[in-house]
Amino acid sequence: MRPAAWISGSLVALFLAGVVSLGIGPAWLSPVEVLRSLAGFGPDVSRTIVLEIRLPRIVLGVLVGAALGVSGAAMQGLFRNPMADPYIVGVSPGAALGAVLVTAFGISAGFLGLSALPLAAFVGGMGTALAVVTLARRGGSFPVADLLLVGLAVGAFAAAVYSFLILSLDDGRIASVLFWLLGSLASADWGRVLVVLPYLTIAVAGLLMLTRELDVFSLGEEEAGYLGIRVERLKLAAIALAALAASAAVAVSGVIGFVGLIVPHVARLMVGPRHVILIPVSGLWGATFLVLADTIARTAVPSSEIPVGVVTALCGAPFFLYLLNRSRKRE
Amino acid sequence: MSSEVALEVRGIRVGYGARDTLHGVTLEVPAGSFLGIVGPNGSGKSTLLKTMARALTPRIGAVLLDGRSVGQWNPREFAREAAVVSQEGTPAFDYTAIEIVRMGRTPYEKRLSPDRDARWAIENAMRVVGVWDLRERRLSQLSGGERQLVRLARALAQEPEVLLLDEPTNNLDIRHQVEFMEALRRLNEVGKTVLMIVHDLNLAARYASRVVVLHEGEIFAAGPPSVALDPKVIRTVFDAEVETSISPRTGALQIQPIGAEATRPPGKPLVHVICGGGSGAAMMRRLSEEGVPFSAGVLSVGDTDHAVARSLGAPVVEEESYAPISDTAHASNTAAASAAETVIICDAPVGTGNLRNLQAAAEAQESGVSVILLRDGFPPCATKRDYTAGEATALFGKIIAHGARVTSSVDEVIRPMHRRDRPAMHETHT
Repeated sequence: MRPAAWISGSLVALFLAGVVSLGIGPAWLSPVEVLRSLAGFGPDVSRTIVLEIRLPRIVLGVLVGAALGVSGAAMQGLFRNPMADPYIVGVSPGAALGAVLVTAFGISAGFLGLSALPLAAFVGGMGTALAVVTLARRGGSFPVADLLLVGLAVGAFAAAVYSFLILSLDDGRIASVLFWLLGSLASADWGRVLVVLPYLTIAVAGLLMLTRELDVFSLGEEEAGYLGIRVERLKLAAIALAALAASAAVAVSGVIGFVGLIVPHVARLMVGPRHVILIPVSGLWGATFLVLADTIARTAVPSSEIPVGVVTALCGAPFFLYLLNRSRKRE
Repeated sequence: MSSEVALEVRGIRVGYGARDTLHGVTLEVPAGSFLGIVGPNGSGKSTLLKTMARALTPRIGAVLLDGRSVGQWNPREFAREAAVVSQEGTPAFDYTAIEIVRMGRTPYEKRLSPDRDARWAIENAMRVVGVWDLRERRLSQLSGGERQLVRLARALAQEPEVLLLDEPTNNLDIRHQVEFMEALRRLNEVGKTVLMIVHDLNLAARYASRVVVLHEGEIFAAGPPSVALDPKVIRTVFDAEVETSISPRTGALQIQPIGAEATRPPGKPLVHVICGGGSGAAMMRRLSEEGVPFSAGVLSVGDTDHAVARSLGAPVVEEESYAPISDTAHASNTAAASAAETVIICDAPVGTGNLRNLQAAAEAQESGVSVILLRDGFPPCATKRDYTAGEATALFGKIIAHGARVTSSVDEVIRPMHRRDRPAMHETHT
């Protein structure tokens, strides 16, 4: 299939998923009612449910899912490893540390329309990524293997600190921190959407600019250099953009695992490894996947929520194994 | 390209850690040349190539491309001028052949304006190397040789003037090795400068116009293959005993390791081989392989067959170079021929100097030894190369009249020997 066909097909799928998801909830709405509400018609109740309660959450899901898909695909390309994900340079434990810190110390000051927790998570994620890159630096270069190992070490250190801090919290706070750690879109509103929108847009647009370079990079760093790529610059740019996307996503939705890992992998099996298709398709499928997973997360258990990270892992893992098995058989 | 020297290496010292791997290498690569770099493992070949390709920076000294230090080149401009086929492994993801080749256009791509020559350059590169038909195949579906050709095509898509290759034919079977090297040779003929690290000294000798021998980070020898790959050089650098010769078929320099001397079949010679000028080499080799003890004569010193017979450990009746067969040599030859069960006369030209070889065979035949005439070509005629004004032809006629067999096949000669002498050993083929 041609790239344009994949992308327009994926856009249609995302739109359909959004319409279906908008209709599902305590009050069920048919797709027609949803579309009418979106267009500004229909009863006030439906319009309120669709536009003010469900839509911000779905839009946030789209943004976060797309950010995770895009940055996951970019990190897998950069690390030349299908096991890489957007959090690879220590973003998730770093963000978690930030979140746990503000919870533990009861800080509640907000900034730029964000409350303390997302802000701390964002700073924690970006800060960890910066620390990892600095520690992995050797002369003027950033060896990929070192980035991976330093990321693991720094991540483990941050995880040790926040785990210790969690133990010192009271039960109520432990529950809320755990809920955040597992990832959730429950606190979505238009304010959050507007706050993360610029960061996610910058990150996604930036990564979309790097598609050709990432293709060449998969030949190996040395070969990429022989083809005129400024390898270290590319690595820094890709990591910075992916860390920005991941940190912004974590800040508003917690650590949603698996989307950034399996979506790009599945996409690669389907559309091939070329990043010019892979990255946009990973973004669109990440968005679709997260919107559907979040629909389950908020409706599967009546009058209660499952962390969406649990749903993504529960649905994603078996599907992933199935695809892996199928692609192995084909070979 | 304006300047005559494409690449110039000026006294470079390069080190990864504390110790240098190159200790002052100076080298000129003329535009349009085909340079082979050889040397044992760890001699600094790859370091040299990587430095020339600007992947490593020399501690001291400089590499110049078109007169400008490679470090000062913009990486994209450099990639349009020089392409590298390195030893790095397969891509991390499974691209198709054409996608891989398209990556060679990277130095020409700009984010917003299209690369207008891309299509043409990609197709041309793939056609030149002969992988256009494989373009939609994924790399994982290609053989090692095809993959290597795809990488060469990618380098060509860069439209470079200089090609730098690091042991490109390693792990290729012989067909792909030749295919790859022939592709390189064609590129060199149309003006590309080729610099290639080679493991196989014979490939270097056959394809390179100049060879540089690296030894412990320094250039030990350089020059045309026959000069640089002198057996003495190879003994010092590779710690291996070799012998060089010129292939009569390709004219290329051939380098053969001399291992343990060929074991000579035990026992009294059953066969006496009369040959010369290389006509008996294959026969003698086969006899040796089949374990049939043989002698040969009279062969003049310096003759190919003389060298072959000696290296196979066979007793040889010899004569000085360019001298006609003397009485003593003729007497020993007749004795050796008569002592054998079979005399094989190979298809050597016969002149007055070696006519006595036929006489020795005829004498042996009279004393009851069977004679086989091994002729080239079909139908086997007694002689095509009689330089004795008919004497040789007459002698051949006589030998055939006395019951000599005429055949064109070494197998035909060998088979009855087995049936008679070693019934248990053979019969694995045909």
